[in-house]
Amino acid sequence: MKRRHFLGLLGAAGVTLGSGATAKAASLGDVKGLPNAGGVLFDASRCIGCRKCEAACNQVNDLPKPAKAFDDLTVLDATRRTDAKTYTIVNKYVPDAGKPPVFRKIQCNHCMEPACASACFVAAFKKSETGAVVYDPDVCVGCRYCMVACPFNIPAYEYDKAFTPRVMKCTMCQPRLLEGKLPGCVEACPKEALVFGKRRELLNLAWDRIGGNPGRYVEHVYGEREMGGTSWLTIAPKPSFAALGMDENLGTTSAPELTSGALAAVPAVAGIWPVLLTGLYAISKRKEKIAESEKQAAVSAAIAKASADAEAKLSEELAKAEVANKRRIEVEVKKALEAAAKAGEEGEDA
Amino acid sequence: MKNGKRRMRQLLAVLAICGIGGLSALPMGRATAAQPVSDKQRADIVTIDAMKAYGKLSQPTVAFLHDKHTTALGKQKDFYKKECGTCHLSDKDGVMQLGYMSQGKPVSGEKLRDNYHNNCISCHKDMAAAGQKTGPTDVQCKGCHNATPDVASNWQPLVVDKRLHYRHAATQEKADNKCGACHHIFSEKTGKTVPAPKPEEVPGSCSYCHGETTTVVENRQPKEIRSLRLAAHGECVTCHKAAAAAGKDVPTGPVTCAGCHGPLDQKAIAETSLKKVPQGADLRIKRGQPDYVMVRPAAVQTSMATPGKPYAGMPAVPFDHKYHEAKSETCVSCHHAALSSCSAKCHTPAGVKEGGFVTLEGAMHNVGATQSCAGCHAVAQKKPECAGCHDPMPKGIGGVDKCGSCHVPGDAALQEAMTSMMAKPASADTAAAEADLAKKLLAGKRDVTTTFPVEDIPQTVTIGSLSKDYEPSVLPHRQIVQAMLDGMKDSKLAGAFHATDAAVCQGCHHNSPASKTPPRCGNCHQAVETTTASARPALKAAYHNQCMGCHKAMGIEGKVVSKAPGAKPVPAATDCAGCHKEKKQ
Repeated sequence: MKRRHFLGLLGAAGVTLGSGATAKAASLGDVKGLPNAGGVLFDASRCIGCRKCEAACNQVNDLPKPAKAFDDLTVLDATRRTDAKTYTIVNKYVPDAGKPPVFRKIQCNHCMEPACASACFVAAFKKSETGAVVYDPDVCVGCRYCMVACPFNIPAYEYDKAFTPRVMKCTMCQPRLLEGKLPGCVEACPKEALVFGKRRELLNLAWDRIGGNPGRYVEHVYGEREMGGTSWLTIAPKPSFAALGMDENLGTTSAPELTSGALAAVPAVAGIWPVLLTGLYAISKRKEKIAESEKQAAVSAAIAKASADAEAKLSEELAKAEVANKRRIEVEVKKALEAAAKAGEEGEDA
Repeated sequence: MKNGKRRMRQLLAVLAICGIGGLSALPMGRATAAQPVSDKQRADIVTIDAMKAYGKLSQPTVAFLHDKHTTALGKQKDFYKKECGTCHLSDKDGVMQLGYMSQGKPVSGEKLRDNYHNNCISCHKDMAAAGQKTGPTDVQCKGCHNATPDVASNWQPLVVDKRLHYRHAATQEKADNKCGACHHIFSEKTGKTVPAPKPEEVPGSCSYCHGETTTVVENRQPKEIRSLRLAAHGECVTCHKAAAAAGKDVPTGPVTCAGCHGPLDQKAIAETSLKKVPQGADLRIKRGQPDYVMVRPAAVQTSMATPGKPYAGMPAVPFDHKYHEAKSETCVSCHHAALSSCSAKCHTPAGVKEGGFVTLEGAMHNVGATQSCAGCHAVAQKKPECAGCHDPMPKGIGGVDKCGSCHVPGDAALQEAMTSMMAKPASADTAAAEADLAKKLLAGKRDVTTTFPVEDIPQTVTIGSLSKDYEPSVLPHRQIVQAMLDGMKDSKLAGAFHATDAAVCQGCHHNSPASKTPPRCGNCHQAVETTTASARPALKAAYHNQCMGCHKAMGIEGKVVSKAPGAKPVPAATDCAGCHKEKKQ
């Protein structure tokens, strides 16, 4: 990158930093535009820890085989987290010693206003209309801000891939959703501990279950408001969500709201310069990438246009030539006819 | 022992014994608590957090181990002669204060803090100087203020059940006023509490007067009514100690924390009760209560009845009082605030202040309250043998078709008798007639749960409509029905409420018409899951929820429950092949 370009970008960044409030307004608007977003309701009181959802996720997403088979339930004895090769896992918790364990499925919660998306400066993450937070590896620069930003510690990085590492997380089976199918885990669950539907319908269902079974559930739908709300909703048996390793103190403010205000100015702090510069470098790199592809597109478009023009001209010329030929023939024929007529006249006369 | 003189005499006796250095109470107490108890699980943890009243605590609360200190003091023959008096001061009447070094008067926060710091640390220091094993002596705060003490509480509330009551009554059999030894009443004439003279005058449970906190009643002496905790510790422990100290050849009750509140000790008490109380002994606590009653509003309220016409509400409920007494451990199980009739003053049809504005309807039907009929029955439904069916069902009063289970309509003649009874307010005069009517109305109730003849119950049911990865599941249908019936064969409650033959079928065949041939599950539960959220599960989940839910609620998952030879365990929820074999590829 040329020094001049860099300084120009720096100036542009300064302008962006000054207009944090605009970013906030825009992000809120995005969510209001998703009244029909889908989601999944997970009912921990129904989960039996059979790991069928894990197996289904592995299968439908073509993920590598795990070290231990999915029907080996001894893996539940250790607390696990999602990684680049596992989009979802089930963990076992024992909230009351002596009472049966409770299981919790962990995957991307598909926030209504995703922290990963708000932290990503290349917009590799987007909230889709299906409710899924989808990831575009083509634009990702691998900065892993998303991993830092996620309040649920979900995105995982392909550290073992040196050249094309991606950030991996549950996709809510977006491709399947677009085909009208259920997410793999939901379809596989033998107990309907997972229900897919519109988020607002799921909320009704969740509260109906809580109200219809007094004393069984914690009177709270996790994800209804956490971090501004998530598409993945959880209800759990008493005593608490904390007993299932869930953070009950996340607050109801969404990540974009948290970061687009005062925090948006943070890169101005001296300590953050390397990060900012790396980011800027990445942006410029991406811009170059885009410019390159635009250039290529323009060239091919120009070529296409030129050849089209040439062809048009040729056919026009041909048409013209044809018309001219026709006319010439007509003229010749006329001449011949006239001559013949004259000759005939002369003959008759003769 | 409720009169002041007697109480003082006993306390003085206790102190005198300690002075002599007998300390005979302590070995007695230890003998009761001689169970092998883990030191990490204790019933004697007193959390010292009195400073909370003065603002935010700067240090974690102190987990004080009461029994450990009592035992340690018991060994100090010469060093500590005051025993309880070492830590507990007595007021001018000789009544011991339960608070540590407390005069019973409010003090400032600083004073309170110093009280603990000076006395605890100096005592530990003195003992250390005398070469004794003792607690923290230094000024390192966390020696006592440990946020993560390595002990956990297994404290259990003590319930004086019917057997324990019987044992206490037996020891007082020959006393002048046998009930008065424990139960006292407030005499307006003398202006103080006096022992209850006759069984009928016993006000009932201590908790009727002694609340959770100490209450102050102006215009009476003594002004204060001690909290239940203070009253129980002041009276029970004192009496146990005095009985032991008097040197009579009678075994006495526990005096340590664990002795009453430790789970193992409570089990020991229950076992001793079983041994000491003769078989077939009449455990009924007699307060002149009837055997049968009609549960009904106390009076015909003008707002709810037209003059000359009977009460327009629900028919009264016939109630077998004696049977329910046998099924409850204490009177407080139902009569939570007083022994009188529920509807007499507190729970009127419209609700009044005395009853916290809880209406008669609410008092009987509130599922959340264990004292209500529906609430107590809902607790009974939590028993493993019942929970399989009842866990997923809505608790309490469902549809109006359920009303007749309790509001028994009876035949025409009985209905007429009930109508004329309801027209009159409930009184002592009507009691006999009501009891007679209740008995007649209850006569038609089932005592045992029955269902269709065994040959009408399909032996097996094959579930295979979804069969894909697995072979169809063969459900041992008749065996399941019979196991369910076995679980409730001794329950009169179950008999009365499973009123029809099809009632027991409804646990699985829910929401379908009660019939010998209920419709197939697939009639309501669709075979394919859709992307629309629905409260009604699809067929796969419907089967799994119903089967696994029941096994889980009954606690039979993975256990061998059948007594037949070679019986297999009930499959665990995650054991797919336990119910349906995997299809061979």
